Amino acid sequence: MHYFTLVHLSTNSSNLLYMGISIMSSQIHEIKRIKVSPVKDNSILAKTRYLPSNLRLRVVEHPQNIKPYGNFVLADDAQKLAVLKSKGSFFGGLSDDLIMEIVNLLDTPDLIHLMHTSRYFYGFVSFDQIWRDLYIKRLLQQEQGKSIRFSKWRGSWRNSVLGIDCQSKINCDVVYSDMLYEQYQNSQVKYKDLFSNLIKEQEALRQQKPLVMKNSAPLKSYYKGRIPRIDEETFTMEDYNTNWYNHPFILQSADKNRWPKWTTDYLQDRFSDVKFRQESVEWRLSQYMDYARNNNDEKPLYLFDCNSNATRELGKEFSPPPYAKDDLLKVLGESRPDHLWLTVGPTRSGSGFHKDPNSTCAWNAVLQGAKLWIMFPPDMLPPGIHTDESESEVTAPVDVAEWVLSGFYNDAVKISDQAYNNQGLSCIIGMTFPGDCMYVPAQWWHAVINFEDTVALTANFVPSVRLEEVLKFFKNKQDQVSGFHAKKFRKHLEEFIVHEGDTLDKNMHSKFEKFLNASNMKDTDEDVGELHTSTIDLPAFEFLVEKLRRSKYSERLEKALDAIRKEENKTKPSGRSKLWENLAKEKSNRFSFSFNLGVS
Amino acid sequence: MAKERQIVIITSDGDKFPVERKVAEKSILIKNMLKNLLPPEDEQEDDDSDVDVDEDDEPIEIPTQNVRSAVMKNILEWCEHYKDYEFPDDEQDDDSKKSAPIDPWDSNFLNVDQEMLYEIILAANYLNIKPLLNAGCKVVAEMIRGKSPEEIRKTFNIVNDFTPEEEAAIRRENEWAEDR
Repeated sequence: MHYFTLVHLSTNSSNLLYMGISIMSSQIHEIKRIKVSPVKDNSILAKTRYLPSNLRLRVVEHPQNIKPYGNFVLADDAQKLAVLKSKGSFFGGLSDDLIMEIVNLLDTPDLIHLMHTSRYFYGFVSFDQIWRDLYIKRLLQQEQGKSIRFSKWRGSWRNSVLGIDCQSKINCDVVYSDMLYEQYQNSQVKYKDLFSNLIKEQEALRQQKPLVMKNSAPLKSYYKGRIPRIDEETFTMEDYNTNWYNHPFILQSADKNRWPKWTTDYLQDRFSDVKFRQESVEWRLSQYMDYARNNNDEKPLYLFDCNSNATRELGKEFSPPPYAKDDLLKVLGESRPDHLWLTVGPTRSGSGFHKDPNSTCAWNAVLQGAKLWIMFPPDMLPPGIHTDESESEVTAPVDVAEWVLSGFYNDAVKISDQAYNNQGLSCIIGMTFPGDCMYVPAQWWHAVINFEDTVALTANFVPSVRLEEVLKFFKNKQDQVSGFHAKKFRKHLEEFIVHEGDTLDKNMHSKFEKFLNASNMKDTDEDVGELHTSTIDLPAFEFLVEKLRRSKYSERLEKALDAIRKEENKTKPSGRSKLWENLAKEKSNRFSFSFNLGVS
Repeated sequence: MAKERQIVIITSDGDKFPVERKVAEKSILIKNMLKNLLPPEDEQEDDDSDVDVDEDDEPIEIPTQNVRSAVMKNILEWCEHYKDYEFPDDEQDDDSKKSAPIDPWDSNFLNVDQEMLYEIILAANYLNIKPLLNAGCKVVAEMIRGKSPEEIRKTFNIVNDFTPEEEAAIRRENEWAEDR
């Protein structure tokens, strides 16, 4: 038997600061000795999680013979002359970017005419991204009656927009373009081959007995850099509140019928003609499935739907994981931010690194297919990702496929492998399969890739233990609040004032009235996160507080508000100098990053 | 007394163009370059009392290796015209800006031979003058619009390099699309 010392692993100093006075504090910060069965069978793990480093050099033959730009440099004079003739003297000297700027200004039939001038332009204008962008652009102008309708998906955006079923066999070997070639290369990624070692490992881990909570719980006992798997039947709210609320884990159940078996076929039978939201489009499910099964997009459209009647109906047909049942945002009723989604993602689809909205936690249950998860703790920025100080803007130079192929995935593996030695929170990587339910702690960075056609249910929620953080987010990061719909919010606030107006504090009453009287947003039903924040001053924080105050969580609320007040007083200029405060802050940061070094 | 330092743009063929700062700063490339060399314009008045006067009199020379004199003359004419106009720099309106029709003054300004248009586009790209680049691209798109493939080839010196079989395939594709 091995013994580990378990400590709370928050790397967030402010988190530590206020948690110290929240209700959970005694449990969280108590240093426990927990009996752990030693890591058993290491041979089950992949020998290495690294991908080959030369992925970009793997030559994929482009169906139209388009080649990377480097090949042009090596081409002989005759070929260079052929390129110049096919591009023409004017376009001959322009970069891909500039030609794309010009082509993007065109519409049908001019695009077709340009496409038919020469082999160069046939190759360039056939680039499917041009037609996808055209379709989406016109969709956004649909009030002006400009949207393109196609009755049927025909295997590519070009063919669907033009209504043709064939792509002529034209030899476009005069096109040398990294932009076009790499897009195709990324669209041909076979994740299942690329990640075969990891998939094998993850499937084996899944076949093993998951962690049973009564025997052992520590994060560190699990296989290094992998996401722990826990037996749902043994997992309690206490486990969640003490050891697990800030660490990703996968719940699995011995009960084969724990989750509904909604496959794409099942959904298509039941909801064939229902329109679901797929990013910027809203297609009938049958058309979307035609698309999902047959496209060459680098990043296929992802069905992510929360407001269709179908999703609302499905929302009543399953039971969420136990730790999510006590969801404090329920007090907002119908006016709460969007929170439950049905997702259908074709192979290669996924989401780049992000944090979930409004500082909420999430769960994600796979019903069909397989998902890869790459996760980083709140204070660790994933490689290849940039943010501004407040994290209101996240910029990734590349899409997920590009992120993997260009080597950032290997950087993440390296961080994950090294972290084991430090025993702190770090990058962890795992996969979920049908029946698995992933827990995503609030503020954790995560990227997800679907390795095959994948159906999942996912929801955001606020557990009691996270109330302080969520209140602070609503209070201080108003410009980042999203998922509320102003119209619904207004309606519920109006009802609330009718029933509870008398019991409201005067200031609050006038604040709500002021919002209700603001005329600039009466009819909008947009997600507030999509609107210019300056036009809307949604009193989300205040409304949540008033609703909680009148719910069974009133005591919990007062404690949270008290903690926030104390924290705010502390950060206000006190007798101490600013310099000292900064130093103290820095010290505690470093402390939380390194204080596990001595423990092993 | 504060005096604005002279800015001189030198072209690839060695010509020198003295310009006002706000004209030169229509080029984001030059603007960023100047940011490192000079204090911002509005702070200049107060700040330079201690600065060595001799050095202050030296003009700042900016070499632009990719742009020849005849092209630079045009670029600077455009910058001069817009020197008091603030282009909105938020990217949010990108699409609507792009679909807006070309400004009549720009259209007239860019009514030049193809070689000059080509060089203006390359120079605007190199000097990072987005509104001029956009206008240039719009003019080119205008030259494509409404033309048959044969007319486009003629306009831009494109050689029809399809094989007869490919021609036939394209014709079929075309008929199909137009049948709808």
